[in-house]
Formats: sequence, C-alpha cells, structure tokens
Amino acid sequence: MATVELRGLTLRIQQKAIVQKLNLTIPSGKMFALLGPSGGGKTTTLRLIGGFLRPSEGQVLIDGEDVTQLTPERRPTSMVFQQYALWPHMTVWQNVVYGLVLRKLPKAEMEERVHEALTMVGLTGYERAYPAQLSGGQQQRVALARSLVLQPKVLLLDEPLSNLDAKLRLRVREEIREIQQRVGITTVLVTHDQDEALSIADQVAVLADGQIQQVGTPDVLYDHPRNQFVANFVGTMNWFAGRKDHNGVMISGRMIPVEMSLPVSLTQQELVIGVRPEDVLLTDDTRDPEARVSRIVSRGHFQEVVLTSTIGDIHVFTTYRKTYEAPIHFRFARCHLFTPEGEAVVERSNAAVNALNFRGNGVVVQ
Amino acid sequence: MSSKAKPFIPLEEGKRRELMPSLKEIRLASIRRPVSQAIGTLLIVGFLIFIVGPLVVLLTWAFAKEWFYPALIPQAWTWSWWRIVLTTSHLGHSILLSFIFAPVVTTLSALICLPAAYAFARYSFPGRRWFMVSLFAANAFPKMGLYMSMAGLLFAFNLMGTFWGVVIVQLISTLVIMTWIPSAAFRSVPRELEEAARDVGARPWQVFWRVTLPIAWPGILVGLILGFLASLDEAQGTFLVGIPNYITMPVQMYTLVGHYPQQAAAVFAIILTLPSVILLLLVRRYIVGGTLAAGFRIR
Repeated sequence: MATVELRGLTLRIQQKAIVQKLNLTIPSGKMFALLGPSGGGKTTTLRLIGGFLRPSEGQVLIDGEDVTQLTPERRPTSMVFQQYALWPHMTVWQNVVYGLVLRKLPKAEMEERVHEALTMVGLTGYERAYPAQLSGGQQQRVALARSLVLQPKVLLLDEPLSNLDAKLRLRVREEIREIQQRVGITTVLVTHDQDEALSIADQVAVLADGQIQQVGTPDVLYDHPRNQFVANFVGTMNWFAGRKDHNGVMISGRMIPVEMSLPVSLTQQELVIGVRPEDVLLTDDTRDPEARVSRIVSRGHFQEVVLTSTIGDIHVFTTYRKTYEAPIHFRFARCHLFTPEGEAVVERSNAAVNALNFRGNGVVVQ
Repeated sequence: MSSKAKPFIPLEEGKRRELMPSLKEIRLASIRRPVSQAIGTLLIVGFLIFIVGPLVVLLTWAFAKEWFYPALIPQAWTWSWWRIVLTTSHLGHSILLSFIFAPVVTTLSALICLPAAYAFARYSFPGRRWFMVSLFAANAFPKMGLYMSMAGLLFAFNLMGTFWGVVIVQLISTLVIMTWIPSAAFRSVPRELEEAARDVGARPWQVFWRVTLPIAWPGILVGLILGFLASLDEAQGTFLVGIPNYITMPVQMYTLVGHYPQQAAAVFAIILTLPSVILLLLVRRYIVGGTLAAGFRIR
C-alpha cells in the first residue's frame, strides 16, 4: 500500500518538454490509468516513476519518501513492459525467481513465493518452459508474476494489453483488474485505449502534449469533461458551433431543445457545443427540428443512426433496432458547453460536479 | 531444447490459430520448396568443390610417397612426412609457439575490444563513428605498409624480435573482428531486457553478466573464434617483427614450401587447419544449432 506523488515533474529533452509540470497524487491501493494519445507523455511519466528516466525538474514521492534520485533497482516499483521483456535464455521459473535471488532470500521462501506468484497468474506447470514456447497472453502473465513476486509498493503497467488479440485482451484485462484488487497494490496503467482505462481504472488522468488535461473517475471524465480535448478523446461527441438559448441551444439559426437545464447566463456568447450520441433523442414531436436518416450502422450492442439535418450530420446511438420513416425529429437530452478556446463551461452552483473531484479551471459562471 | 524434456503445454486459443498456416502461406510454401531445395543443393555442391576438395588433395599429399601425373591417387603411401615434421625440432617448436601466441593475443584482444564493442553498441560519444571506421580502415589496405611503419615504432621501443612485439602486431589483425561482431551482438540485445533486470533489483554489472552477456554470447563467441584463427594464421606481421626468435606456424610454412618437398608442406598445412576444424565443431551447437535461435526469439 503506497501513494505515489508527482510534484512539478518536468522532463525536457533538447529544450523540448516531453512532460511538463505534472502534479499528481495516485491514491494507495488503486488502479490509476494514464490515458492519452501516443506522444502525449504517458509512457515517459511511467518511466519517470520507475526510475528509468531522471526528471529535469520536480520530484517523485512514494509513501512520502523522495525517490527522484534512486535508480530503478533501488525503487519500490516494478514494471511490466509493453513487450514483456522476458529474458529469453531463462525458463519461466528463472525469470520469476531472479529478483528474489538478487535479494538473497532463503531458498524455501523463494520457492514458496514463486509458486504463489505463478498460481496467482494461473501458470503453474509452466515452470520449465522458455518464453518463446509460450503464447503472448502467457508471456504477459509471466511478466506480471515476475513483478508481483517482489511484492513492490507500486506496480507499473506499460500498455500491457496492446500486443494481445481483441478477445484475449478483454480476458487479460479482467484478470489484471482481479489480481490488482486481490493484492490491493497501487497500480499505474499506461494506455491509449480509453475503453481499457474506463473499464478497469479507479481513476484516470488524461495526458496530452505532456500535460494533464483532467484527473477523475471514469464517470467524471465521461460526464464532465473539463475541456474539448478530454470530451473528444474519452467517448465520442457530435460537435457544433452555436449559442445557448432559453431552453436549448441555437445552432445555425435553429433552436434545438435540451432537456437538461443549462447554465442560466451566457445567452449571447459564441460557444462550442458537444453532444454525446446517446444523448440525442429521436422523437415524433413536430415542434422539434426535422432530420432525415441517411445511414444505419449495426454496432452489435447498439445501433448507430446517422442523421442529416440543417445543422449538419448527427450520430445517434440507440439501443433498440428499428427502421425509420422520413422525416423524423430530434432533441438533445443533455449537452456539453465549451468556450471557443475549448474550456468547459461550468456552473458554480453545480455542487454535484464539485463533489466528484472536478479539478477544472473551466470558465465558471454565476 | 530438443534434448531436454519439454513441459506439457496445452494450446491456448490464440496460439492454436497461430499454428494453423494460412492459405497464402500454404501456397507460398509449395512454390518455395523446390526452389529452396535447388539452391541448397547448389550451395552444398559448391561447398564440397571449393572447401572440401582442396582439403582432400592436401590430405592425400600428406600420406603420399610418390604421386606423379596423371595418376588419380598416389602410387605409394607413407607416414614418414608426419614423422619428419613432428620430430624435426624447429617445426614442433613453431607449432608450440603458435599455440602460445594465439590464446595470449585472443585474451588481450578480448580485454581491449569487448568493452569497446559494448561501448560502441550502447553509448553514443564523440568520435564513435570515426573510431569504428578507423578500425575498418586499418584492415582495408595492404597491411605490409602498416607493418613497416609499425616496425619503426617497435624498433624505437626495443620490441623488435620480442614476444610482446609479436603480440602487438598480431593484435592488429584481430581488432576489427573482435570489435565489430560482438558490437553487433550487444546491439541486438533489446534494452528493455536490461531495464527489466534493473527493475527487479540487479546492479548494472549484474545486468551485464546475467542478461546482456548470455544473450550476446553467440556473437561474442564468433568474434573470439575468428580472432583466435586470425592470430593463428597471421604471417606477414609476425614474420617482420618476430624473426629470428619467434617463428610461428604460418611463418614456418613459407620456409617449408621453399625447402621441403610438397608432402611436408601438406602435413604442416593440415596441422594448421586442425584448430579451425576443431573449434568450429566445438561451437557448432551455438552457431548453427537452433537452440539459441529458438530461445532468443523475442515477441
């Protein structure tokens, strides 16, 4: 059990900031995801925590102890590498036991702990196999066992699922989550897959351009994105330029009703409006704006309906399957408002949002 | 791997599909097989003609008492050439000398070159490229010129005709091999494997001994063997620096060819060839065998 704290962590390579002034507290025993596009600095951050990189400025603290100057072998962290990095000339047993051998543990204890770790990842019986004899999923689990056997304070996972096929990925994802919760180990997961981050992490930090865009629980990120980047990266959005109107939004001169109450002010301001596909309601109400169904895409779990309307194309997710007679009508259940600079518009009175650990410096309105 | 008992590994879903060749692969395989077989056969025939052929002739000469044209095999056989070569004292002495020089030179060269090879592979420092190219350049031009100017230096330091003078001149011909080949081997070790070892608690030197060196070993071994053979076969520089005190096998060859009948030279040539053959047989498992190739596949 350990908290990880990053204080003003900055890494510059040839004057270019790879990560910039990261301030982050990773709570003890939680699964914490660093989510972002490639080149966003998430792997760099993980390597800074693991000690493979030295920051230009700032500190890494684990359990309040400054580990910034420590090399990887002296840190209480353990990393599962993206390519697993199993030693090909050693058997599964030798791979897992090596860290314990270096710690000069008694033989009996070593055997017990390796056995325990291999049992945990479900690989007993493979002790004498070489990495090349194992499948990708099995190699991944050896790498996990190699880290867990050391009982580190912090487990670092670098894109652990990116080399597995889709089906296996879902299974291993659940396994990792299950093991993490059983052991109760503080875990930092790097991923570019928002689905992965949202489904197994307790908390997610969205990173882009070496800066934290937002930190929060998966629900907070999805429901209350702090800026346009987060709104676009986590989930999908229909984007429009428009203005707030009395009971809805004004887009391209059309009034579209919004069922959720909107901030009271801002009436004349130019805004960027984001609408989640599941927040578009299809209605029969002739007072609502009209649209034509141009395409229906079956997505398995749900149906994606593409509407053509005077305000542009609108993507809609519906859970029921049905064909539509033209024309139909639509309105929005809720929408997200952003300033033209991309910052979310937040109402100060919205206590629920503040309670959800919303750390925005979004534009606050009275 | 095949000699060891394989653990029982049930196939996983993902793996099973990997094992099934795709239609495209099946089609390609049926086209490739005859072609690759033909190329393989050609290579083997070439190998027999150009490498084994001369050796067979050499071997025949070594036991020939009389062998006149156009007979296909000698008219009379004898062991006497072997007795002459092995008992004539200076010939035996030069064999001994060669097998003292080669290990000394190889060891020294390894001590100098392997750290350099590691540095070339892992660090970037000013002049890195220049160093690598200069090593190559030292071997790209006729060596006699190099040896002549070296002789001047060795003379100045009183090293002409001494043991260490010969060692130094032989080192030159091993430098490129002992640096370039192990350097490539070190470079092929993924950095992540080293980082993973650091991560579980290994100090840098432990990482080197337990991870980097074992994985790079086949390449290093090739370097060591070629270095050993280069030293063993080195004649020009040794001749220039070593005479009259240190006459090694290849230097002796020159005099032998001039002063003795062809048969004695053949016997000597075989003795000179033996170390190469024995060494290659010893490490065949490492270089040709699939053991390492299979174990070292990294996904």
